[in-house]
Amino acid sequence: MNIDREGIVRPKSLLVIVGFLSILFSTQLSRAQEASRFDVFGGYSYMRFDSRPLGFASDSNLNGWNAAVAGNITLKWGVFLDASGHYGQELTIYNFLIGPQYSFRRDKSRFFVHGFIGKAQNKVNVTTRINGDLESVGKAYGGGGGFDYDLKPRISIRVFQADYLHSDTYGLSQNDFRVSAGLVFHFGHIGHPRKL
Amino acid sequence: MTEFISMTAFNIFRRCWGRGIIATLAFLLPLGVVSCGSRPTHLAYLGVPTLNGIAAFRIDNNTGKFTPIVGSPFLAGNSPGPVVVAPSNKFLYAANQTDNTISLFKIDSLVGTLTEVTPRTNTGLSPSAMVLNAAGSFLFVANTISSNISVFSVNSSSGALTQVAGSPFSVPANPVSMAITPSGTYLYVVAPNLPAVFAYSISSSGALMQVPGSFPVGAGANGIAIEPAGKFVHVANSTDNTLSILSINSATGVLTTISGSPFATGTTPVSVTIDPSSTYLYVANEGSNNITAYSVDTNGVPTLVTTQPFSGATQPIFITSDPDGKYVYAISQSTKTVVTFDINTSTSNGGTLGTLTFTQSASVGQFPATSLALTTK
Repeated sequence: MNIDREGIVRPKSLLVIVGFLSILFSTQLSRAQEASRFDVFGGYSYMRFDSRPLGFASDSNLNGWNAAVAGNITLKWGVFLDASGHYGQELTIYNFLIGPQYSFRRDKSRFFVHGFIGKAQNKVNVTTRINGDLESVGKAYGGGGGFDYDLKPRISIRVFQADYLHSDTYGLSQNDFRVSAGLVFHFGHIGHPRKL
Repeated sequence: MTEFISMTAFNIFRRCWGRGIIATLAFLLPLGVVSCGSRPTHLAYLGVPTLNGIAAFRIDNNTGKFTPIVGSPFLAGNSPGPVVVAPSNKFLYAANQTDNTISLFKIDSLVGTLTEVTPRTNTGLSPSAMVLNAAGSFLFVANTISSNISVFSVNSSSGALTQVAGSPFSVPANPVSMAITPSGTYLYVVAPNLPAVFAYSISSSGALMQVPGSFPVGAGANGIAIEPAGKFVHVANSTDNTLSILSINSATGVLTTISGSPFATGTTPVSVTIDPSSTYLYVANEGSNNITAYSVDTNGVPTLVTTQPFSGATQPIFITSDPDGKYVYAISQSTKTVVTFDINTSTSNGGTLGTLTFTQSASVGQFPATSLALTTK
Protein backbone atom coordinates (compact mmCIF):
# COMPACT_ATOMS: atom_id res chain seq x y z
CA MET A 1 0.00 0.00 0.00
CA ASN A 2 1.47 3.30 -0.99
CA ILE A 3 0.84 5.89 1.64
CA ASP A 4 3.41 8.66 1.43
CA ARG A 5 4.97 10.51 4.29
CA GLU A 6 2.11 12.97 4.31
CA GLY A 7 -0.34 10.14 4.77
CA ILE A 8 -1.92 10.64 1.36
CA VAL A 9 -3.17 7.54 -0.41
CA ARG A 10 -1.81 7.56 -3.95
CA PRO A 11 -3.84 6.38 -6.92
CA LYS A 12 -1.32 3.66 -7.61
CA SER A 13 -2.35 1.96 -4.39
CA LEU A 14 -5.99 1.73 -5.34
CA LEU A 15 -5.18 0.56 -8.82
CA VAL A 16 -3.17 -2.26 -7.30
CA ILE A 17 -6.14 -3.26 -5.15
CA VAL A 18 -8.55 -3.12 -8.05
CA GLY A 19 -6.14 -5.00 -10.28
CA PHE A 20 -5.68 -7.68 -7.68
CA LEU A 21 -9.39 -8.23 -7.32
CA SER A 22 -9.80 -8.31 -11.08
CA ILE A 23 -7.19 -10.99 -11.58
CA LEU A 24 -8.34 -13.01 -8.64
CA PHE A 25 -11.94 -13.35 -9.69
CA SER A 26 -12.08 -12.70 -13.38
CA THR A 27 -11.82 -16.30 -14.53
CA GLN A 28 -14.64 -17.81 -12.56
CA LEU A 29 -17.11 -15.18 -11.59
CA SER A 30 -18.68 -15.12 -14.99
CA ARG A 31 -20.46 -18.33 -14.15
CA ALA A 32 -23.50 -16.46 -13.02
CA GLN A 33 -25.96 -16.55 -15.83
CA GLU A 34 -28.30 -13.78 -14.84
CA ALA A 35 -28.20 -10.21 -13.64
CA SER A 36 -30.53 -7.33 -13.06
CA ARG A 37 -31.02 -4.77 -15.81
CA PHE A 38 -30.66 -1.82 -13.47
CA ASP A 39 -29.02 -1.43 -10.07
CA VAL A 40 -29.90 1.59 -7.97
CA PHE A 41 -27.55 2.33 -5.09
CA GLY A 42 -27.83 4.80 -2.25
CA GLY A 43 -25.97 5.13 1.00
CA TYR A 44 -23.49 6.79 3.30
CA SER A 45 -20.18 8.01 2.01
CA TYR A 46 -16.95 9.25 3.56
CA MET A 47 -14.43 11.35 1.69
CA ARG A 48 -10.86 12.21 2.49
CA PHE A 49 -10.56 15.49 0.62
CA ASP A 50 -7.15 16.71 -0.47
CA SER A 51 -7.53 20.25 0.86
CA ARG A 52 -3.87 21.11 1.44
CA PRO A 53 -3.43 22.47 -2.10
CA LEU A 54 -6.14 24.99 -1.21
CA GLY A 55 -4.08 26.23 1.73
CA PHE A 56 -5.75 24.18 4.45
CA ALA A 57 -3.61 23.05 7.36
CA SER A 58 -4.56 19.42 6.75
CA ASP A 59 -6.67 17.21 4.55
CA SER A 60 -10.38 17.17 5.37
CA ASN A 61 -12.61 14.36 6.60
CA LEU A 62 -16.04 14.78 5.05
CA ASN A 63 -19.28 12.86 5.47
CA GLY A 64 -22.15 12.65 3.03
CA TRP A 65 -24.04 10.50 0.60
CA ASN A 66 -23.47 8.56 -2.57
CA ALA A 67 -26.07 7.44 -5.12
CA ALA A 68 -25.67 5.63 -8.40
CA VAL A 69 -27.64 3.96 -11.15
CA ALA A 70 -25.99 1.18 -13.10
CA GLY A 71 -27.40 -0.19 -16.32
CA ASN A 72 -26.15 -3.67 -17.10
CA ILE A 73 -25.68 -4.19 -20.83
CA THR A 74 -24.30 -7.70 -20.52
CA LEU A 75 -23.77 -9.99 -17.57
CA LYS A 76 -20.41 -8.41 -17.02
CA TRP A 77 -20.47 -4.97 -18.53
CA GLY A 78 -22.56 -1.98 -17.69
CA VAL A 79 -22.59 1.78 -17.48
CA PHE A 80 -23.13 3.66 -14.29
CA LEU A 81 -24.08 7.20 -13.32
CA ASP A 82 -22.83 8.32 -9.94
CA ALA A 83 -23.47 11.36 -7.78
CA SER A 84 -22.13 12.13 -4.35
CA GLY A 85 -22.17 14.97 -1.88
CA HIS A 86 -19.76 15.43 1.00
CA TYR A 87 -19.91 18.09 3.66
CA GLY A 88 -17.73 19.66 6.30
CA GLN A 89 -17.71 22.93 8.18
CA GLU A 90 -15.50 24.57 5.58
CA LEU A 91 -16.20 22.48 2.49
CA THR A 92 -19.06 21.27 0.32
CA ILE A 93 -18.05 18.79 -2.38
CA TYR A 94 -20.20 17.34 -5.15
CA ASN A 95 -19.16 14.88 -7.84
CA PHE A 96 -21.16 13.83 -10.89
CA LEU A 97 -19.62 10.89 -12.70
CA ILE A 98 -20.23 8.43 -15.50
CA GLY A 99 -18.27 5.43 -16.66
CA PRO A 100 -18.07 1.74 -17.51
CA GLN A 101 -18.42 -0.94 -14.86
CA TYR A 102 -17.28 -4.53 -14.96
CA SER A 103 -18.91 -7.02 -12.59
CA PHE A 104 -18.08 -10.54 -11.44
CA ARG A 105 -20.96 -12.45 -9.98
CA ARG A 106 -20.98 -15.60 -7.92
CA ASP A 107 -24.09 -16.79 -6.11
CA LYS A 108 -25.05 -13.96 -3.77
CA SER A 109 -21.86 -12.01 -4.21
CA ARG A 110 -20.93 -9.40 -6.78
CA PHE A 111 -17.62 -7.65 -7.13
CA PHE A 112 -17.22 -4.74 -9.45
CA VAL A 113 -14.58 -2.37 -10.71
CA HIS A 114 -15.23 0.83 -12.57
CA GLY A 115 -13.62 3.89 -14.04
CA PHE A 116 -15.28 7.25 -14.44
CA ILE A 117 -15.07 10.80 -15.65
CA GLY A 118 -17.27 13.74 -14.83
CA LYS A 119 -17.44 17.00 -12.99
CA ALA A 120 -16.51 18.08 -9.50
CA GLN A 121 -18.22 21.05 -7.88
CA ASN A 122 -16.25 22.20 -4.87
CA LYS A 123 -17.06 25.03 -2.55
CA VAL A 124 -15.10 26.57 0.30
CA ASN A 125 -17.48 28.08 2.81
CA VAL A 126 -16.05 31.55 3.48
CA THR A 127 -17.90 34.82 3.37
CA THR A 128 -15.23 37.46 2.73
CA ARG A 129 -13.52 37.48 -0.60
CA ILE A 130 -12.65 39.64 -3.56
CA ASN A 131 -12.29 37.45 -6.58
CA GLY A 132 -15.84 36.22 -6.98
CA ASP A 133 -17.41 33.01 -5.77
CA LEU A 134 -15.41 30.44 -3.93
CA GLU A 135 -17.20 27.69 -5.78
CA SER A 136 -15.25 25.99 -8.52
CA VAL A 137 -16.33 23.43 -11.08
CA GLY A 138 -13.79 21.29 -12.85
CA LYS A 139 -13.21 17.94 -14.41
CA ALA A 140 -13.03 14.80 -12.31
CA TYR A 141 -11.93 11.31 -13.06
CA GLY A 142 -10.80 8.20 -11.24
CA GLY A 143 -11.66 4.62 -10.55
CA GLY A 144 -12.41 2.07 -7.90
CA GLY A 145 -14.48 -0.92 -7.05
CA GLY A 146 -16.61 -2.59 -4.47
CA PHE A 147 -18.53 -5.58 -3.22
CA ASP A 148 -22.27 -6.25 -3.03
CA TYR A 149 -23.97 -9.12 -1.21
CA ASP A 150 -27.58 -10.15 -1.91
CA LEU A 151 -29.92 -9.86 1.05
CA LYS A 152 -33.01 -10.63 -1.01
CA PRO A 153 -33.53 -11.25 -4.71
CA ARG A 154 -34.14 -7.55 -5.32
CA ILE A 155 -32.03 -6.03 -2.58
CA SER A 156 -28.32 -6.20 -1.91
CA ILE A 157 -26.11 -4.56 0.62
CA ARG A 158 -23.14 -2.67 -0.75
CA VAL A 159 -20.59 -3.70 1.81
CA PHE A 160 -18.08 -1.24 0.52
CA GLN A 161 -17.20 0.82 -2.49
CA ALA A 162 -13.79 2.47 -2.56
CA ASP A 163 -12.87 5.06 -5.17
CA TYR A 164 -9.96 7.27 -6.00
CA LEU A 165 -11.14 10.66 -7.27
CA HIS A 166 -9.00 13.22 -9.01
CA SER A 167 -10.51 16.66 -9.47
CA ASP A 168 -9.21 19.89 -10.95
CA THR A 169 -10.78 22.89 -9.26
CA TYR A 170 -9.55 26.36 -8.31
CA GLY A 171 -6.83 25.88 -10.90
CA LEU A 172 -5.36 23.20 -8.65
CA SER A 173 -5.47 19.43 -8.49
CA GLN A 174 -6.94 17.41 -5.67
CA ASN A 175 -6.47 13.68 -5.11
CA ASP A 176 -9.32 12.43 -3.00
CA PHE A 177 -10.42 9.11 -1.57
CA ARG A 178 -14.04 8.05 -1.19
CA VAL A 179 -15.59 5.08 0.62
CA SER A 180 -19.30 4.33 0.42
CA ALA A 181 -21.73 1.71 1.74
CA GLY A 182 -25.47 1.25 1.54
CA LEU A 183 -28.25 -0.64 -0.21
CA VAL A 184 -28.63 -1.66 -3.84
CA PHE A 185 -32.03 -2.25 -5.43
CA HIS A 186 -32.30 -4.40 -8.55
CA PHE A 187 -34.78 -3.90 -11.39
CA GLY A 188 -35.41 -6.05 -14.47
CA HIS A 189 -33.13 -8.81 -15.52
CA ILE A 190 -30.86 -10.01 -18.30
CA GLY A 191 -29.64 -13.53 -18.97
CA HIS A 192 -31.64 -16.45 -17.52
CA PRO A 193 -34.67 -15.38 -15.47
CA ARG A 194 -33.93 -14.58 -11.91
CA LYS A 195 -35.66 -16.87 -9.43
CA LEU A 196 -37.92 -14.77 -7.29
CA MET B 1 -4.20 -24.06 -12.57
CA THR B 2 -5.12 -20.43 -12.63
CA GLU B 3 -8.74 -21.39 -12.60
CA PHE B 4 -8.23 -23.61 -9.57
CA ILE B 5 -6.40 -20.94 -7.63
CA SER B 6 -8.92 -18.24 -8.34
CA MET B 7 -11.84 -20.57 -7.59
CA THR B 8 -10.32 -21.65 -4.32
CA ALA B 9 -9.62 -18.09 -3.36
CA PHE B 10 -13.12 -17.06 -4.17
CA ASN B 11 -14.64 -19.92 -2.16
CA ILE B 12 -12.52 -19.03 0.80
CA PHE B 13 -13.61 -15.45 0.50
CA ARG B 14 -17.24 -16.43 0.12
CA ARG B 15 -17.21 -18.62 3.20
CA CYS B 16 -15.41 -16.01 5.17
CA TRP B 17 -16.94 -12.93 3.67
CA GLY B 18 -18.06 -11.61 7.01
CA ARG B 19 -14.52 -11.65 8.22
CA GLY B 20 -13.47 -10.31 4.88
CA ILE B 21 -15.66 -7.29 5.32
CA ILE B 22 -14.16 -6.60 8.68
CA ALA B 23 -10.71 -7.02 7.28
CA THR B 24 -11.53 -4.76 4.38
CA LEU B 25 -12.92 -2.05 6.58
CA ALA B 26 -9.99 -2.41 8.91
CA PHE B 27 -7.81 -1.92 5.91
CA LEU B 28 -9.69 1.04 4.45
CA LEU B 29 -10.62 3.06 7.49
CA PRO B 30 -7.07 3.81 8.56
CA LEU B 31 -6.53 5.44 5.19
CA GLY B 32 -8.70 8.23 6.37
CA VAL B 33 -7.17 8.30 9.78
CA VAL B 34 -3.46 8.19 9.08
CA SER B 35 -3.35 11.64 7.61
CA CYS B 36 -5.59 13.36 10.14
CA GLY B 37 -2.65 15.12 11.76
CA SER B 38 -1.57 18.39 10.22
CA ARG B 39 1.96 19.37 9.38
CA PRO B 40 3.35 22.38 11.24
CA THR B 41 2.59 25.54 9.36
CA HIS B 42 2.32 29.28 9.80
CA LEU B 43 -0.16 31.57 8.16
CA ALA B 44 1.12 34.73 6.50
CA TYR B 45 -0.87 37.82 5.61
CA LEU B 46 0.05 41.01 3.79
CA GLY B 47 -1.85 43.99 2.53
CA VAL B 48 -2.35 44.53 -1.18
CA PRO B 49 -3.38 48.21 -1.46
CA THR B 50 -4.35 48.21 -5.13
CA LEU B 51 -6.76 45.31 -4.59
CA ASN B 52 -8.13 46.63 -1.29
CA GLY B 53 -7.40 43.19 0.03
CA ILE B 54 -5.28 41.02 2.27
CA ALA B 55 -3.27 38.28 0.57
CA ALA B 56 -3.09 35.07 2.58
CA PHE B 57 -0.65 32.18 2.43
CA ARG B 58 0.15 29.05 4.40
CA ILE B 59 3.85 28.46 4.98
CA ASP B 60 5.17 24.94 5.38
CA ASN B 61 7.56 25.03 8.34
CA ASN B 62 9.69 22.30 6.84
CA THR B 63 10.24 23.88 3.44
CA GLY B 64 9.32 27.55 3.74
CA LYS B 65 6.96 27.08 0.81
CA PHE B 66 4.06 29.54 0.47
CA THR B 67 0.71 28.07 -0.59
CA PRO B 68 -1.99 30.65 -1.42
CA ILE B 69 -5.12 30.32 0.67
CA VAL B 70 -8.13 29.64 -1.53
CA GLY B 71 -10.18 32.82 -1.81
CA SER B 72 -7.19 35.11 -1.21
CA PRO B 73 -7.04 38.09 -1.27
CA PHE B 74 -9.73 38.89 1.27
CA LEU B 75 -11.66 42.11 1.12
CA ALA B 76 -10.51 44.88 3.48
CA GLY B 77 -10.96 48.65 3.45
CA ASN B 78 -9.34 51.03 0.99
CA SER B 79 -5.62 50.59 0.48
CA PRO B 80 -4.73 48.27 3.37
CA GLY B 81 -1.11 48.52 4.41
CA PRO B 82 0.20 47.47 7.82
CA VAL B 83 -1.05 44.16 9.23
CA VAL B 84 -0.53 42.50 12.61
CA VAL B 85 -1.65 39.15 14.01
CA ALA B 86 -2.79 38.90 17.62
CA PRO B 87 -0.63 36.64 19.84
CA SER B 88 -3.65 34.35 20.18
CA ASN B 89 -3.47 33.77 16.39
CA LYS B 90 -7.24 34.34 16.31
CA PHE B 91 -7.34 37.86 14.93
CA LEU B 92 -5.70 39.97 12.26
CA TYR B 93 -5.72 43.76 12.16
CA ALA B 94 -5.19 45.68 8.94
CA ALA B 95 -4.80 49.44 8.69
CA ASN B 96 -6.69 50.92 5.73
CA GLN B 97 -4.55 53.87 4.73
CA THR B 98 -7.11 55.71 2.63
CA ASP B 99 -10.12 54.98 4.84
CA ASN B 100 -8.18 55.85 8.01
CA THR B 101 -9.70 52.78 9.64
CA ILE B 102 -8.63 49.50 11.18
CA SER B 103 -10.18 46.27 9.91
CA LEU B 104 -10.55 43.39 12.33
CA PHE B 105 -10.54 39.90 10.83
CA LYS B 106 -11.16 36.54 12.42
CA ILE B 107 -8.65 33.94 11.30
CA ASP B 108 -9.82 30.44 10.47
CA SER B 109 -6.73 28.55 11.54
CA LEU B 110 -7.62 25.39 9.63
CA VAL B 111 -8.45 27.00 6.30
CA GLY B 112 -6.47 30.22 6.69
CA THR B 113 -9.35 32.36 5.49
CA LEU B 114 -10.22 35.76 6.94
CA THR B 115 -13.65 37.00 7.91
CA GLU B 116 -13.94 40.70 8.61
CA VAL B 117 -15.81 41.82 11.70
CA THR B 118 -17.49 45.13 11.05
CA PRO B 119 -17.78 48.00 11.73
CA ARG B 120 -14.22 49.14 11.15
CA THR B 121 -12.51 51.21 13.82
CA ASN B 122 -11.54 54.79 13.05
CA THR B 123 -7.97 55.90 13.55
CA GLY B 124 -5.87 58.94 12.55
CA LEU B 125 -4.89 60.05 9.06
CA SER B 126 -2.90 57.62 6.93
CA PRO B 127 -2.10 54.79 9.37
CA SER B 128 1.28 53.46 8.27
CA ALA B 129 2.48 51.18 11.05
CA MET B 130 0.95 49.00 13.75
CA VAL B 131 2.32 47.00 16.66
CA LEU B 132 0.70 44.89 19.37
CA ASN B 133 2.24 44.35 22.77
CA ALA B 134 3.28 40.79 23.60
CA ALA B 135 0.20 40.23 25.72
CA GLY B 136 -2.01 41.33 22.84
CA SER B 137 -3.84 43.77 25.09
CA PHE B 138 -2.94 47.03 23.32
CA LEU B 139 -2.71 47.96 19.65
CA PHE B 140 -0.61 50.98 18.66
CA VAL B 141 -1.22 52.67 15.31
CA ALA B 142 1.15 55.29 13.86
CA ASN B 143 -0.82 57.85 11.85
CA THR B 144 1.65 59.47 9.48
CA ILE B 145 -0.27 62.51 8.26
CA SER B 146 -1.89 63.40 11.56
CA SER B 147 1.46 62.81 13.31
CA ASN B 148 0.09 60.91 16.24
CA ILE B 149 -0.31 57.42 17.65
CA SER B 150 -3.70 55.92 18.33
CA VAL B 151 -3.77 53.37 21.13
CA PHE B 152 -6.55 50.80 21.42
CA SER B 153 -7.27 48.25 24.11
CA VAL B 154 -8.04 44.81 22.68
CA ASN B 155 -10.88 42.61 23.84
CA SER B 156 -9.16 39.24 24.10
CA SER B 157 -12.24 37.18 23.26
CA SER B 158 -13.74 39.24 20.41
CA GLY B 159 -10.70 41.14 19.20
CA ALA B 160 -12.70 44.37 19.33
CA LEU B 161 -10.79 47.64 19.70
CA THR B 162 -11.55 50.45 22.13
CA GLN B 163 -9.51 53.63 22.07
CA VAL B 164 -7.84 54.27 25.41
CA ALA B 165 -8.23 57.52 27.33
CA GLY B 166 -6.02 60.29 25.96
CA SER B 167 -5.56 58.62 22.56
CA PRO B 168 -4.34 59.71 20.05
CA PHE B 169 -0.99 60.79 21.43
CA SER B 170 1.00 63.41 19.52
CA VAL B 171 4.42 62.44 18.22
CA PRO B 172 7.04 64.23 16.07
CA ALA B 173 6.23 64.75 12.41
CA ASN B 174 5.16 61.89 10.17
CA PRO B 175 5.93 58.66 12.06
CA VAL B 176 6.34 55.63 9.77
CA SER B 177 7.62 52.83 11.94
CA MET B 178 7.45 51.65 15.54
CA ALA B 179 8.83 48.91 17.77
CA ILE B 180 7.74 47.82 21.23
CA THR B 181 9.85 46.13 23.87
CA PRO B 182 8.96 42.48 24.64
CA SER B 183 7.98 43.57 28.15
CA GLY B 184 5.50 46.03 26.65
CA THR B 185 7.01 48.86 28.69
CA TYR B 186 8.39 51.15 25.99
CA LEU B 187 7.44 52.13 22.45
CA TYR B 188 10.02 53.56 20.05
CA VAL B 189 9.07 55.60 17.00
CA VAL B 190 10.96 56.85 13.95
CA ALA B 191 10.09 59.40 11.27
CA PRO B 192 12.22 59.66 8.10
CA ASN B 193 12.33 63.44 8.30
CA LEU B 194 13.98 63.40 11.70
CA PRO B 195 17.30 61.64 12.41
CA ALA B 196 16.21 60.43 15.82
CA VAL B 197 14.28 57.82 17.76
CA PHE B 198 11.50 58.97 20.07
CA ALA B 199 10.74 56.90 23.15
CA TYR B 200 7.47 56.51 25.03
CA SER B 201 6.67 54.70 28.21
CA ILE B 202 3.41 52.75 28.19
CA SER B 203 1.18 52.89 31.24
CA SER B 204 -0.96 50.01 32.44
CA SER B 205 -3.93 51.70 30.76
CA GLY B 206 -2.07 51.97 27.45
CA ALA B 207 -1.43 55.70 27.68
CA LEU B 208 1.84 56.98 26.22
CA MET B 209 4.22 59.32 27.97
CA GLN B 210 7.30 60.55 26.14
CA VAL B 211 10.67 59.70 27.59
CA PRO B 212 12.44 63.08 27.73
CA GLY B 213 14.69 63.92 24.82
CA SER B 214 15.29 62.17 21.53
CA PHE B 215 17.99 59.71 20.57
CA PRO B 216 20.05 60.41 17.45
CA VAL B 217 20.34 57.99 14.57
CA GLY B 218 21.25 58.46 10.89
CA ALA B 219 19.34 60.31 8.22
CA GLY B 220 16.25 58.74 6.70
CA ALA B 221 15.37 56.56 9.69
CA ASN B 222 12.86 54.15 8.24
CA GLY B 223 12.73 50.65 9.67
CA ILE B 224 13.02 49.96 13.39
CA ALA B 225 13.18 46.67 15.30
CA ILE B 226 13.90 45.37 18.80
CA GLU B 227 15.41 41.94 19.22
CA PRO B 228 13.52 39.32 21.29
CA ALA B 229 15.85 39.81 24.26
CA GLY B 230 14.68 43.41 24.40
CA LYS B 231 18.05 45.03 24.99
CA PHE B 232 18.67 46.98 21.77
CA VAL B 233 16.87 49.15 19.25
CA HIS B 234 17.96 48.78 15.60
CA VAL B 235 17.24 51.47 13.05
CA ALA B 236 17.76 51.31 9.27
CA ASN B 237 18.87 54.74 8.05
CA SER B 238 17.78 54.75 4.40
CA THR B 239 19.54 57.98 3.42
CA ASP B 240 22.84 57.34 5.20
CA ASN B 241 23.00 53.66 4.19
CA THR B 242 23.72 52.69 7.77
CA LEU B 243 22.30 50.74 10.68
CA SER B 244 22.11 52.44 14.07
CA ILE B 245 22.01 50.31 17.21
CA LEU B 246 21.09 51.75 20.59
CA SER B 247 20.94 49.99 23.94
CA ILE B 248 17.78 50.28 26.04
CA ASN B 249 17.84 51.31 29.66
CA SER B 250 15.13 49.01 30.94
CA ALA B 251 14.44 51.25 33.94
CA THR B 252 14.00 54.55 32.10
CA GLY B 253 13.58 53.70 28.42
CA VAL B 254 16.50 55.97 27.57
CA LEU B 255 18.57 54.88 24.57
CA THR B 256 22.36 54.94 24.31
CA THR B 257 24.21 54.46 21.03
CA ILE B 258 26.45 51.41 21.25
CA SER B 259 30.13 51.53 20.40
CA GLY B 260 30.79 51.45 16.66
CA SER B 261 27.27 52.51 15.66
CA PRO B 262 26.24 53.29 12.96
CA PHE B 263 27.25 50.26 10.91
CA ALA B 264 27.48 50.06 7.13
CA THR B 265 24.67 48.46 5.14
CA GLY B 266 23.78 48.22 1.47
CA THR B 267 22.09 51.02 -0.44
CA THR B 268 18.83 52.41 0.92
CA PRO B 269 18.24 50.13 3.91
CA VAL B 270 14.54 50.28 4.76
CA SER B 271 13.75 47.37 7.03
CA VAL B 272 15.50 45.34 9.71
CA THR B 273 14.75 42.09 11.53
CA ILE B 274 16.42 39.94 14.16
CA ASP B 275 15.99 36.17 14.42
CA PRO B 276 14.20 34.71 17.49
CA SER B 277 17.49 33.74 19.13
CA SER B 278 18.73 37.35 18.91
CA THR B 279 21.80 35.96 17.14
CA TYR B 280 21.40 37.12 13.54
CA LEU B 281 20.33 40.45 12.16
CA TYR B 282 19.20 41.15 8.60
CA VAL B 283 18.74 44.44 6.76
CA ALA B 284 16.75 44.80 3.53
CA ASN B 285 18.49 47.15 1.10
CA GLU B 286 15.92 48.46 -1.34
CA GLY B 287 18.46 50.34 -3.44
CA SER B 288 21.05 47.58 -3.88
CA ASN B 289 18.44 44.81 -4.22
CA ASN B 290 19.93 42.62 -1.52
CA ILE B 291 20.04 41.73 2.14
CA THR B 292 22.88 42.38 4.55
CA ALA B 293 23.40 39.78 7.27
CA TYR B 294 25.17 40.20 10.61
CA SER B 295 25.86 38.01 13.57
CA VAL B 296 25.30 39.83 16.86
CA ASP B 297 27.24 39.42 20.08
CA THR B 298 25.84 39.81 23.58
CA ASN B 299 26.75 43.49 23.58
CA GLY B 300 24.62 44.01 20.52
CA VAL B 301 27.60 44.59 18.24
CA PRO B 302 26.99 43.26 14.73
CA THR B 303 29.61 41.56 12.59
CA LEU B 304 29.04 41.00 8.91
CA VAL B 305 28.80 37.32 8.08
CA THR B 306 30.88 36.20 5.16
CA THR B 307 29.78 35.93 1.52
CA GLN B 308 27.55 38.89 1.62
CA PRO B 309 25.23 40.52 0.64
CA PHE B 310 22.48 38.10 -0.30
CA SER B 311 20.49 38.56 -3.46
CA GLY B 312 17.19 37.01 -4.50
CA ALA B 313 14.78 39.74 -3.49
CA THR B 314 14.62 42.66 -5.91
CA GLN B 315 13.82 45.98 -4.24
CA PRO B 316 13.13 44.45 -0.83
CA ILE B 317 10.91 46.83 1.11
CA PHE B 318 10.23 44.75 4.19
CA ILE B 319 11.93 41.88 5.97
CA THR B 320 10.87 39.70 8.89
CA SER B 321 11.95 36.51 10.62
CA ASP B 322 9.95 33.35 10.84
CA PRO B 323 8.82 32.53 14.42
CA ASP B 324 10.86 29.32 14.41
CA GLY B 325 14.07 31.02 13.30
CA LYS B 326 14.44 28.89 10.18
CA TYR B 327 13.63 31.45 7.51
CA VAL B 328 13.71 35.11 6.65
CA TYR B 329 10.92 36.50 4.47
CA ALA B 330 11.38 39.58 2.30
CA ILE B 331 8.73 41.48 0.37
CA SER B 332 9.98 42.34 -3.12
CA GLN B 333 8.13 45.31 -4.52
CA SER B 334 9.23 45.21 -8.14
CA THR B 335 8.56 41.48 -8.57
CA LYS B 336 5.38 41.59 -6.45
CA THR B 337 6.51 38.57 -4.50
CA VAL B 338 7.34 37.34 -1.03
CA VAL B 339 10.76 35.73 -1.03
CA THR B 340 11.85 32.99 1.36
CA PHE B 341 15.45 32.69 2.50
CA ASP B 342 16.75 29.78 4.52
CA ILE B 343 18.92 30.75 7.52
CA ASN B 344 21.98 28.62 7.90
CA THR B 345 21.99 27.61 11.56
CA SER B 346 24.50 24.77 11.32
CA THR B 347 28.12 24.45 10.29
CA SER B 348 27.76 20.73 9.57
CA ASN B 349 27.02 21.46 5.93
CA GLY B 350 30.21 23.48 5.58
CA GLY B 351 28.31 26.75 5.48
CA THR B 352 28.67 29.86 7.59
CA LEU B 353 26.24 30.51 10.40
CA GLY B 354 23.67 33.17 9.65
CA THR B 355 24.07 33.12 5.89
CA LEU B 356 20.97 33.15 3.73
CA THR B 357 20.03 30.87 0.88
CA PHE B 358 17.28 31.87 -1.52
CA THR B 359 14.60 29.19 -1.29
CA GLN B 360 11.60 30.32 -3.30
CA SER B 361 9.27 33.19 -4.01
CA ALA B 362 5.49 33.45 -3.95
CA SER B 363 3.55 35.80 -6.18
CA VAL B 364 1.26 38.37 -4.58
CA GLY B 365 -0.13 39.44 -7.95
CA GLN B 366 -0.11 43.18 -7.26
CA PHE B 367 2.18 45.58 -5.45
CA PRO B 368 2.35 44.47 -1.83
CA ALA B 369 2.40 46.78 1.17
CA THR B 370 5.42 47.04 3.45
CA SER B 371 4.17 44.64 6.09
CA LEU B 372 3.93 40.89 6.56
CA ALA B 373 2.20 39.33 9.56
CA LEU B 374 2.71 35.73 10.62
CA THR B 375 0.86 33.46 12.99
CA THR B 376 3.09 31.68 15.48
CA LYS B 377 1.61 28.28 14.61
